Amino acid sequence: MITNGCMLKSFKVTEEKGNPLPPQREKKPKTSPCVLRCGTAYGNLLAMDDISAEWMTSPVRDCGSDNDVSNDDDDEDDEEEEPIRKRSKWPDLPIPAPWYGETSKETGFHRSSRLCLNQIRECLLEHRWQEAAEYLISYFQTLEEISTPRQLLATEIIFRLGSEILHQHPNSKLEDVNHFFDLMKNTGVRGYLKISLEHSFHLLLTGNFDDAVRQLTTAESWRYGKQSAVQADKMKLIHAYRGFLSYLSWISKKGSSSEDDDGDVSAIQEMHTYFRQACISLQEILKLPGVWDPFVVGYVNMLEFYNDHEGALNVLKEYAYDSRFPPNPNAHVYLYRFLKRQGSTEKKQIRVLKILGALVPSHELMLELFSLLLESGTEQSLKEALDVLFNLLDDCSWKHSVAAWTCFRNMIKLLRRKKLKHLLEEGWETRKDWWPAFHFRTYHARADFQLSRQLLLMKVVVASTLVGNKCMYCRRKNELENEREARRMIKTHKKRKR
Amino acid sequence: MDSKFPDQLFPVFYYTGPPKKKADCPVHAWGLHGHVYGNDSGSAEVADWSFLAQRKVNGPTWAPVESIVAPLLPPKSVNKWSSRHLPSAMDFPKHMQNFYLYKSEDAFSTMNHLLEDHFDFGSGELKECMKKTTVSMKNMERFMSSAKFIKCPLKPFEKRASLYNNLLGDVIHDIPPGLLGELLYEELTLQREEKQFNEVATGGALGFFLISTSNTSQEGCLVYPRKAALNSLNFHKVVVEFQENIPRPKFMNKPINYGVNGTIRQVSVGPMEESVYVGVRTDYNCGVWVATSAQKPQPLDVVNTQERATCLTVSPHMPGELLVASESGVAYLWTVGRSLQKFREEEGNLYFNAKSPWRWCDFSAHPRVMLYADRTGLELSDIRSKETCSHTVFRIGATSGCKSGERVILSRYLCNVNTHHHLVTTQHSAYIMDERFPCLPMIKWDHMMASPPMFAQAVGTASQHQNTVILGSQSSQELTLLQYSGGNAVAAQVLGAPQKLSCPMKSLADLPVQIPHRQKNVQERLTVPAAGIASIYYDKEESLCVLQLSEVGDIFYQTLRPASQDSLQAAHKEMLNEDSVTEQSGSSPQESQESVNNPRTNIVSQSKCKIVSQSDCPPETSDARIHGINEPCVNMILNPLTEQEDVSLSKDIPRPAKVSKATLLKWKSWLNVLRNGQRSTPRYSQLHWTLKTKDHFTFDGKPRDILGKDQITSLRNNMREVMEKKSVLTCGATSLSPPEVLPTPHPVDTQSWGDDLSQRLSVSWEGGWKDWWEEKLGLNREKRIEELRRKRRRLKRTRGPRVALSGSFTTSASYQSDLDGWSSAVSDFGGQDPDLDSSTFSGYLSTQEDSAEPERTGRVLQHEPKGSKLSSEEKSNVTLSRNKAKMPKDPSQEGNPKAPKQLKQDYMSALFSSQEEVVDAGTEGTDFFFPMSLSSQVSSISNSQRKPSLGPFSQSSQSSKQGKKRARMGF
Repeated sequence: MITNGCMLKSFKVTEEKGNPLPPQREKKPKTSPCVLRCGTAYGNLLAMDDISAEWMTSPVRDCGSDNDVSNDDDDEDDEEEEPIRKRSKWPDLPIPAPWYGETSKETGFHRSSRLCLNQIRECLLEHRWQEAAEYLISYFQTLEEISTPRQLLATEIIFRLGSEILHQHPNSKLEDVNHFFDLMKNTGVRGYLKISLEHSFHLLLTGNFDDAVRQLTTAESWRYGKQSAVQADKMKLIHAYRGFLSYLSWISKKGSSSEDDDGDVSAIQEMHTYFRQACISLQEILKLPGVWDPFVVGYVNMLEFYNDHEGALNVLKEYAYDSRFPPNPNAHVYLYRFLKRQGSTEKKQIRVLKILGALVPSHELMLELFSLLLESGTEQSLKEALDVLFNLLDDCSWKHSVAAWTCFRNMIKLLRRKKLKHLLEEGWETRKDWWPAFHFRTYHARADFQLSRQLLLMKVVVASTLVGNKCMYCRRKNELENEREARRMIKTHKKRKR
Repeated sequence: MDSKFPDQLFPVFYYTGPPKKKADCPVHAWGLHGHVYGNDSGSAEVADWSFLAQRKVNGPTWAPVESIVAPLLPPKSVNKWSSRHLPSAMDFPKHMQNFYLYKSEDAFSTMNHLLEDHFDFGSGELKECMKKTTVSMKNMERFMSSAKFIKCPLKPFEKRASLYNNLLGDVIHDIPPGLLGELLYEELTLQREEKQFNEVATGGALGFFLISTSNTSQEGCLVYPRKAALNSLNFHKVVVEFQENIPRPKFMNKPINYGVNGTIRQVSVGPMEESVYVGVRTDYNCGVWVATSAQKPQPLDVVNTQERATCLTVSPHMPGELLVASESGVAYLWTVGRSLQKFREEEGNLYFNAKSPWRWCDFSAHPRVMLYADRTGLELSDIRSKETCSHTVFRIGATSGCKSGERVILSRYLCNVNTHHHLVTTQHSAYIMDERFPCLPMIKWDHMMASPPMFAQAVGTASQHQNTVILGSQSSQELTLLQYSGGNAVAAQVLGAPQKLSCPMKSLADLPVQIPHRQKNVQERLTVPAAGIASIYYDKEESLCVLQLSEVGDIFYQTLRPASQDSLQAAHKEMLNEDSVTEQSGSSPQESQESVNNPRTNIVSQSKCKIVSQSDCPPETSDARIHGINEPCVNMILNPLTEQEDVSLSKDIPRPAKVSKATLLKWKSWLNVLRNGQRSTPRYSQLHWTLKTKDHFTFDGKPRDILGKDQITSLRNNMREVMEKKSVLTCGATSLSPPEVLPTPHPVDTQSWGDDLSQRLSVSWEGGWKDWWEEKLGLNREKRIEELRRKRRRLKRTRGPRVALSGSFTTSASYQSDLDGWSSAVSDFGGQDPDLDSSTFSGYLSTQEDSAEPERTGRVLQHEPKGSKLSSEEKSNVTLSRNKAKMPKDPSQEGNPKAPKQLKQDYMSALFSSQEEVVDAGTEGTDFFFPMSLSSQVSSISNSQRKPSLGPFSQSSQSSKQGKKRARMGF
């Protein structure tokens, strides 16, 4: 057929020509003061992500991604090119490959195992655990898979599904779970650490503390040739949890030894052993970037007990200020609390809280910062305190907080007294176009009144100062107050009648 | 208290860089606890500590009240809804072929006009001067006529075709084929892509806002698009009422609708304060409506975007503020009544080049800090400062444990759940991000959905401190329910495993079976992709209603209630009590014990429950009421589900089946409306040439069976019983009177048929056909004569010369049986028997050419004029009257006095054509003079009277009578 021939030819031509989309200039991540440290390592890694993304997105196209990496220098070229605004020719969104779909070269064995897995999935998604359990029994035959990657995958799948079913199945017992975990641990070497950790979590959650410790100790001593990165991380976690559990044992020992003051030497000895164990493991994990809130709290607690304040402060500072770590508000909270416990100077405390405030302006410790700043009393600190308050009330989670509005009311009073109302003006300048709608509508007056009268009264003071006496909020407040008065009058009137 | 931040978070490694994981293991949603930390309760005893797992395995669950969804609105008849068939990009030659064949005007019109003068179509005389430049189209036409065959139109003319192509291939097309092919390929790719994932629908075009709540009901307003193109915005009041302890949404009054210029892609509803703002996004326009609980919704403002708008969000904080983002990469703050304020513009994608113009924006806990998102991540940007000051909230990378290829599909600010939480969905996972601690997700689910979730709803249930997130996907219609708790005082915790809710596509399995083509129709309608979801939470009687909108405007809903173990057990026990059926094979006592413990998983009893509910509503009454007609096939299929079979069936029905009568009725009326709405399909009605048979089979409308209605119903019951027993329905089992016993016909007496044909046939049946003909044609004449002579000689010898010649003749007549046909033909020749076949005899004589017996030929000649005197008219009349007399016996012809004329003609034609055939056959062999004259006359008549075509009936009657007519032929 001529037409078809023509078509195919032309299609081939287009395929050859197939202009890659104009290369997109590598975008530098924008970092803000608060998230400074999460963006450091990204710059050069982004390009890599791009490549990996390319691999996934459009296997049809093979150019383009290279350009993205190399074109960082020649900006002019890029600007001349058409931007990517137009709908791209090629799918820009990778739809997840239907792994559960049929593949071309599929043996009967694979087919039946795929169908079986689909059935189990359906059952689990609809929470039919018993049926899923029946299917899983048949699914065990996938372990007979010859190819190693598939076998590993099968082990992983069986472990996941099996443990889920055992957790949810009405008839499952702890022994069954233990048995299953033990079996799965040795089905594939790679899963050993993960399953051990999971097993100990399960034991912890079911209240078998000692068994959990035993599990972790066994896993700690596990050695197997070369470890993958994932396994190494798992090993670190196992150490950390082992240390954490030692810390918990240490607490219990501490509690029991303090109860009977006899000073049982062996008990103290044991406590020390736990302390040493916990120290070593927790120290290790705290060096790695991550969120280690429970570990840090435990470690600092122990150090404080043994009067190593310097060490504890170092740990906390490291945890809060190391740029490799994520911007965890809790790190600053722990540091502040530690300083407060140690009775350090207000200046230090304020400094820590200010950093926290930059990170999370709506943190509840901001009220403490406010009072600390208020105490220092200088004009500068008053200005800062006012800023803290304004920022706090910008956030909608503090909208109905009586405490915050009371602080604001007090602040206004103080400023009036000190004749520093211009500070208020400064803060108000950026907010006057949206605070009335955000805080002081008639709807808010009614809602606040229903919530608490105290809140209404506090807010009215602020509103009348900031917006003016004739604002909607104040007018509505007066109406509500009058209504309330009238109702009370009626009530008392009725009572008198009786 | 949303202002609190968790005291401790779960331990997690902080990785940076691109995603490392591959999307391989499909079961990540299950099995792991994640991480654990101990709650330091201050107690000394280890046993007193409570440990928190990142994933609490046994969470509270929602149980669907019914196993299927129910339609909320009657279906709108939509001319065409696209099937789920994905177009393949390599199909473009087929599409081009169609274009050339069926839209030739568009494909070739320009060249057609130019070349018009130079082609001669044989119409009219050609001018002398034109002759040289004109091509005749005769050949061309022939070539074109063959092009009707779709299969390969050009094959028989391959050579000529290629010649024409060489000559004209470059110029004849209006659109160059290369370009057309390229464009088509592109378009098909795009269409396929859009079918798989149409990003314009992100967010969903279904909205709901609450108006008032009372102890027994809840009133709200549903905002949904309607009409075929989804271009009519409807505000419809919905009341959720409790009927038999099941909450059901019900529409009140009539909807208020507004026409919108374009398909509604997204409906965004703000929180209900004094008034509620409803934003509506179409491809290039965004509009905003305002509604209060008392007044009807009013349109406020419309904006127009240059590029396609991708997002519209109504502010949860400030009335009349919206965010608009478009494919140009610009995001605006739109304050109603004022112009748009641009707050962010991004040429490319945020973190890496994902080649996607899709942009999204949303609000955050701070009313002046907006969330700006694209496929690569989410950023918070402060709109107060002139310079773009932005913080990363989420990015595709190793930090949040993304897989390679993962992209942001949707983000949603969960204001009503936690003021700092954002939901981010990707193809594989759903994340809860806390804007106070960006980058690291507070919660990560693997949602296990087949297609990416584009719609999301979050419900915060205050009583149990659990937050429910419902994700909806577009093409696969999936609905997944996820739950989490915490995020304030304690770290956020996943509750339970993801739960799949039922979708319209799968509801069909639980509905009564339809006739196959209707079933297919309904199935196609129900598999239309989803276009939005909404949820109605009723906190007084804790229940959650999930609504799902489809791309053709159907809305389905399902109700969920918290599944406490006790209530489930009670419900299950009730079910068991209702069932008298004992546990049958395949379920051991242990299993039945299990089923009591966890009724949701007990398949056997649930399938029974389905049967109970189905037999609860008698199919006859309900069917008759809903469909207007009886559908016996449905009844037949429904009813065999009895005790005998349910054990085997229970293995096949895995889903918990529990459908109430009310829902079934709703579905039935829905299906009914759907069926009536699309009755006419004119495209296919005239595909083949049909002959009207109305006049042949007139049916006066009386029922064919004389049975009364009672008898029919009793018969049906009998039938059902018999089917249950798997036996045969006999007359004795019914209330009918036994049928008349017909006497067996008498054995055939071949001797009674004197005519030649019958004799020949009976003889040939016994294998004597050849002999018969030999005897008939006289081929054995000499042999016989010889034999006869011998016999006579023998007689002479025995009797001597006393016997006279005349005596010998009489004896020969008396020996008729011995001498068979030959002697009888000779002896009875002059007789008056009317059945005598003169034509065969004359034929025999003429072939014989035997003039040895002159007196015989003389007799024959005498006989002949006698037959020819009869006019052919008379003859045909005679036959006709005979036929007529016989006709009424034909059962199918009974009761047809209306069209005798027509009938006559039919009979005539049938008669003549049959005679003609036979006569023609006869003339081939022998030389018949008498019938020849008749047939020529007859055929001249029949030619003028015969109808151009004959229905199947007349033909069959013809063939059935042929046998008889053949016998009469020589009349």
